[in-house]
Amino acid sequence: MSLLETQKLTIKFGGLTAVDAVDMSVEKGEIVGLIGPNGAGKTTLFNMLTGVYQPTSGTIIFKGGTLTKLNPTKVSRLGIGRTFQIVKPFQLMTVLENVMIGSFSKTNSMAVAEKKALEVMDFVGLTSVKSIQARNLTLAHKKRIELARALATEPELILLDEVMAGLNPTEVNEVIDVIRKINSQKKITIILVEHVMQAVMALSQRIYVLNSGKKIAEGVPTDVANNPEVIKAYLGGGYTHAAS
Amino acid sequence: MNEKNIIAKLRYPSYYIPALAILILIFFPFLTNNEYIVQVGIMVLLFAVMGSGWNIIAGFGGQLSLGHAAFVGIGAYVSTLLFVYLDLTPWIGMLVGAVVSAIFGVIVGYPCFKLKGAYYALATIAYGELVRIFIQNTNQIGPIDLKGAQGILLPIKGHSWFWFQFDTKAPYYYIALVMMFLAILLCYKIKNSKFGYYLAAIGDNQDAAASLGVDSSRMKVYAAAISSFVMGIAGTFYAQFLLYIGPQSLLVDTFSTEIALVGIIGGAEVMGPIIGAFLLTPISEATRILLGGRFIGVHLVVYGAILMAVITYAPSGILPYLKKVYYKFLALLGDPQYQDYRTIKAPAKGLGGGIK
Amino acid sequence: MGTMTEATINGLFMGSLYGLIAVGLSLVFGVMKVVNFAHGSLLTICMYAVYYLVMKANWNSYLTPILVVPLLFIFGYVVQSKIINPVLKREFELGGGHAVILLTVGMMLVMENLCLLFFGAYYKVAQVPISSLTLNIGNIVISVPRMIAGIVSVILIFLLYAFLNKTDMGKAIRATGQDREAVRLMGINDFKIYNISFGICFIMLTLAAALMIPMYYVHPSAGKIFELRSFVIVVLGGLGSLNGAFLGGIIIGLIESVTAQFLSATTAEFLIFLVFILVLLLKPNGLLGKK
Ligand SMILES: Nc1ncnc2c1ncn2[C@@H]1O[C@H](COP(=O)(O)OP(=O)(O)O)[C@@H](O)[C@H]1O
Ligand SMILES: [Mg+2]
Repeated sequence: MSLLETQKLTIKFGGLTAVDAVDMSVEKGEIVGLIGPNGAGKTTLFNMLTGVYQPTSGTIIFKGGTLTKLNPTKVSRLGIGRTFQIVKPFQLMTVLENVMIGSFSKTNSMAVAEKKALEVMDFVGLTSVKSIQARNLTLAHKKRIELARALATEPELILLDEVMAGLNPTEVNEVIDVIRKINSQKKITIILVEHVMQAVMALSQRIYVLNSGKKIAEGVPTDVANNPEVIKAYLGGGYTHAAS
Repeated sequence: MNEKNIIAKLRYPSYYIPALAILILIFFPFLTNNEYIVQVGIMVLLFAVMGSGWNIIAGFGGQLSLGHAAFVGIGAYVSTLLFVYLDLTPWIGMLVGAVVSAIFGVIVGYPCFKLKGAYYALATIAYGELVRIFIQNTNQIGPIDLKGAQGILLPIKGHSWFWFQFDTKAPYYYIALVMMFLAILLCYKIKNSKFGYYLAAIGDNQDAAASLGVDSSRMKVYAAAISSFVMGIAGTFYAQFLLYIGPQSLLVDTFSTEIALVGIIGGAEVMGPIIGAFLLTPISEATRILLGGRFIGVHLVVYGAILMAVITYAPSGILPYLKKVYYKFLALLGDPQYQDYRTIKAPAKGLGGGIK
Repeated sequence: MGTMTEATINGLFMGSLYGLIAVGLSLVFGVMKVVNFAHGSLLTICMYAVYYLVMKANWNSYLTPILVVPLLFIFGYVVQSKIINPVLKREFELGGGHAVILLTVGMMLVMENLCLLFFGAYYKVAQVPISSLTLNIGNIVISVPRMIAGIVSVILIFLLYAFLNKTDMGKAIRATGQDREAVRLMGINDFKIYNISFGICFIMLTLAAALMIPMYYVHPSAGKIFELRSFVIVVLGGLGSLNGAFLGGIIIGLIESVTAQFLSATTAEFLIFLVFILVLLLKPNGLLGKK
C-alpha cells in the first residue's frame, strides 16, 4: 500500500481548473519531485493535500485512510508536514520558539519541546541564530525555519514547496544535503516542489510533471527530462533553462 | 533554594530592588494618610488585573478586543444582583459572576473567532455595544430590578469581610493587591506553557500554526474563557469598591478602550499590563481628582498620544525599553549578573513581541 | 399610512446622508485596507469647522465647503503621509493587521478629547433660518434641511463614483486598492495615492458636515454615533465598496427611521447592532462584497 495516493484529484476556482484529475502515489521512504511551470497547480495540490483547500472532486488517501474533508490541523496531526512557498515564519518569535511550536505537537512539556527543537535546529543548521527574532533573518534562514518547524512535528511525509527558491548556489547545496539527511536518517518521505532543476534531478527518485493543472508526465528523472511534452511545456512557460 | 540562600542573595540589586518594590506595595496604605492616594493605588491595581485579563486573549493570542468592558460588566451585574436580592456574599458572587462572564465570553467568542484582524475588532465593539444598549434600556427582568440607564447603587450591608465592605480603603487595597499577584501568576503560567506558545503562534500566523497541528479555535476558546473569567472577577471588585454600577460608566466603549490601552502600551508580556496600569491609571485618576467632572475624559488625550507614540516607535510596548533601562541600572549598581547590560543596545525580544 | 410614508421618506434621506459619511471610510478601506477608527472624530472636526464659520463669520452652512474642503483635504493628506504611512509600511512588511487600527484609535482619543478640551462638553447648535423649515405635503411633514442633505448626498456619492471610474487619478486610486505592487511597478507612488485617498475621505466628511450643521448638535463626540453607523453600513455593503456604502446607508436609514417611528429609538439602536453582528458573522464580505 502506498503512503499517499490521490485519485482524480480536482479543484476549480470559478472557471479555472487549477488541478485537473491528478492521480499520483507516493511510497514510503521515497523522495518524489513535483515540477511544472509557474501556475501549473503545484502549490494548489499541496494545499489540497494539507486540507487548506477542499477538492472539488477526487480523493486523497494517506496511510489507508481518506484525508478529504480534514482541516490543516488534523492533517498535520496525522503526520503530514509542510513548508510554504511564500514563507510564513512566526515573525515576532525567536527561531527556537518557532521550532518549539512544531515540537509541541508531540509533547506538553516545555523542557522536552525545547530539547527536541534544539536537536532539529542542529540537524538543519539553525543553532547559530536560535535566539534571533524570525523577522530579522534572511529568506534563506526563514526557509530553514519552516523546514525545521515542520520536521519538529515528526511527520511521516513532508511537503516542501520551493525551499530553494531565492537561495544562492552554496545555500542550495546545503539544503540539498539537509533534504537527503531528512530522508536517509529520519526516514521521512518527501514530496519536493522545486524550480531548481539540478536539485530536483539529483534528489528525486521519481518525478511528476504538472502543466495547467494536468499531469503530463511521470517517471524517473532522466526519462522525464527527455520527455518532449515536458520540454514543450517548459519552453512555453518560459523556462528555457529548466529542462536542460 | 533554601531560605538562607535567598537572604544571602539580597545583597544583589537584582534581588533587593524587587524585594523593596514588593515591600512598598505591601506597606503602601501605611505610607500615606491621604485616602485619595490609596484610592489611586487601588484603581491602578484593578486596571493591572483587567489589563492582564485582556492580555491573555489579546496580547498573548493576538485577538484585538475592544469590547472587554462587557465582561467586567457582566461579572459586576451578576454578583451585585445576587448581593442585593439574595444576600449572597460577594465572595461567592464573584465566582458566579466570573463563571457567567466566562460562559458569555465563549458564546460570543466562538462565532467571532473566525473573523480576522479588523473584522474581529469590529465584532467585539458590536457585542460590547449590544450589552450596553440592552442593560441601559432594561429596567426589569421578571422580578429583578436592573434599573436600566440609572444603574444600581449597592446598599451597605455591614462593614465586614463577609460583605466585602469596609470603612477604610486599606482592605480593598489588599484584596486588589492579592488579585494582581494572582493575575501575574496566572499569566506567567500561561505564557510559559504549551498553551501560551500556541496562543502566540496563532496571533502571529494562524495558517502556519494550523500547519503545525495547532487547533486555533480551541485555543482561542480557552483563552476567551480564562480572559473573561478574570474580567468577571475584576467586575465584582469594581462594584463592591465603587458601590455603584451603571451602563454609562461600566459598559461604555471608552472603558473597553482604557482596558485595552493598559495592555497595549505596556506590551504583550506578563508584566506589560502591570507596567501599563502603573503608568496610565494615575494619569486618569489625577485628572479626575484635579479637574473634576467637567473634563471627564481629558486624560484620554494623553492616553491617545502615548498610544500613537508606542505604535509608531515602540510596537512591542514600553516594557522592553523599561527592562533595558532597569538592567543597565542594575549593572551600574554593581550586580554581577547584569554586567553585560552596561553597554547593551537593543531591548530583549522574543515570544509574541508586540503588535504587528 | 401617512406615518409609514413619512418614516420611509425620512429613512431614505437619512440613509443617503449616512451613505455619504460612510463612503470615505469605505474608500480608505478599499484602497489601503485600513479600518479607520478615527472616522467619527474626523467628522466631529469637520462639524466644528463648519459650525464656527457659520456662527462666527456668518457663513451660510452650505457654502462653507468652499473654504473648509481645501483646508481639510490638506490636513488629511498630511496626517496620512506623516502619521499613518510610516506605521502602514511596517505593517505591510510584517503582514500584521493591528498596528494601524490602534494608531487610528489613538488618533480618535486625541482628537475627540482635544475637542472636549478646546470647545467644552456643551452641545452647540447652529440655529439658522433653514433649520426649522418644513415642507408639508398632505399629512406628510418633511424637514427641509434633511431633504437637502438626502438629495445632495446622493449627488455627491454619484460624483465620487464618477471620479473614481472616469478620471485617471480615480483609476489610479482604484488600481492601488486592487494591487499596490502592480501599481508601483507602473511607476505610481502607492503611498501618495493613500494620502490623496485620505484627503478625499476628508472632503466627503466636510461636505457631510456642511449638510448636517443646520440639523445636528455639535459636541466632542458628535461624530461617534455616525462612526458606529458607518462601521455597520460599510460592513453591510461590503468593506471597500462605494455602491455598498450607499446601499448600506439606505438600509440602516430605513431600519432606524421606521423602527424608531413604530417601536422606539432604542429598539432601532439595538436592531442596528444586531444586524451588524449578524452580517459580520454570516456574510463578512457584505451584501455586495466579493466572496
Ligand atoms: N485561492 C485561489 N483562488 C483562485 N485561483 C487560485 C487560487 N489559488 C491558486 N489559484 C490559481 O491556480 C493556479 C495554480 O496556482 P499554483 O498552485 O499557485 O501554481 P504553482 O504553485 O504551480 O506555481 C493559478 O492560475 C492560480 O492563479
Ligand atoms: Mg507554487
